[in-house]
Amino acid sequence: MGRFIGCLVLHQLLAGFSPSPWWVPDLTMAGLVLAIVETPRRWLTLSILAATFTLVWAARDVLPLFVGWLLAGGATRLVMSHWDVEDPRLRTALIVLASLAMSSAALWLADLWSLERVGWLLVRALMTALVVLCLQGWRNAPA
Amino acid sequence: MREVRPSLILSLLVAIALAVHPPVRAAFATVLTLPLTGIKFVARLLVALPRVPSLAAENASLRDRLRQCQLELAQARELARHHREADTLLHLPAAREGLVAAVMGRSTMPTQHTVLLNRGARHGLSLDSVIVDEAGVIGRVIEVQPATCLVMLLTDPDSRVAALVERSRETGLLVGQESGRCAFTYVAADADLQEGDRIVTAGLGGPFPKGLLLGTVEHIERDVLSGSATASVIPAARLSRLEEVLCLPPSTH
Repeated sequence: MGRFIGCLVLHQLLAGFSPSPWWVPDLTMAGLVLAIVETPRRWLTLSILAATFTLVWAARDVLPLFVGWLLAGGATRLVMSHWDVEDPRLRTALIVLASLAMSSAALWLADLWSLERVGWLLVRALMTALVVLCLQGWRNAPA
Repeated sequence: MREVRPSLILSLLVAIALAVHPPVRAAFATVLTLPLTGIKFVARLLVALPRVPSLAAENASLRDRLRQCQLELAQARELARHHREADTLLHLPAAREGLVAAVMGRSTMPTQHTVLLNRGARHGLSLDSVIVDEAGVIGRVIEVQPATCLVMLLTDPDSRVAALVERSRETGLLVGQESGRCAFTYVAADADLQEGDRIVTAGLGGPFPKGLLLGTVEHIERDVLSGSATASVIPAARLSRLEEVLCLPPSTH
């Protein structure tokens, strides 16, 4: 839970210093997925916490975004019951897919689709993947 | 697992109802205020650390500037007194007082450009209060909680401000674009609009009083076929680097 809160705080901190939210890796989603992998039975609590944290800043689409976070948490829990998520690459792929789905849904809700934004979406996904791989490498490194 | 399912569904429904309920969101925002203040303080401290050696010189320079400003302030107060007397004679409304607020955090969602301020209804803020800084307009309050408020920035895709060109007085609508720019639309193709023109609030039918600086025209696209022009506008305020802002009550028409 501590690491999850850390990811939320870090995401907020980076968003505060970055020129655009597109330039910040999706650490909230990363924190949520990694926390669910560690404690699967808490997926609902973690999803609600991530959703509420994000929605403090929401100007619109509160309910769809909230349901989106629950779906992301639920999907992670579901994937965990079918695949071996001990593999860091699978965890990273899961985070990137969830982040892409969430961002795409947000773009669709706001009717903001454009080639430029798809580019930003992919850049953000790539940054998220890199950060998650680094985080997992750091966590798995011998003391 | 089957025994858990009804309780899980029930808790899910309760959670949805609670999480999207404004008072719950307000409470969460209030609880967040304290840790966010601490984090911001530490972050600002870390940013300020490299400047410590030059602080003495900077302090002396600022003291000189303060003396100069105090002199100018005394002159400005005198002028303001004259203006008040003239306004009283002309029956004009008094100047509006602002409230200083600090930015607690900003949205992590790329499609929603909002910031959370540490002032709310308890401090006298109301819906549609206008948020500015020394450079220009930042946005308007869209949600007021007792201790915090949510501000929609000019660059949010839902932001609309009636605006005009300061030089030529051409009117239009400033629409937020989540790329960090705004679009000045509903302008005729042959409108007197140039790159570098300053766009200010028009004061028409919204909370924004007339004459506040919104931004500067970056480039113009004129479509002769549709008879309209659209200008890309760079916001005057640095919306990605907001720390302290001024909240003005909404304009009444």
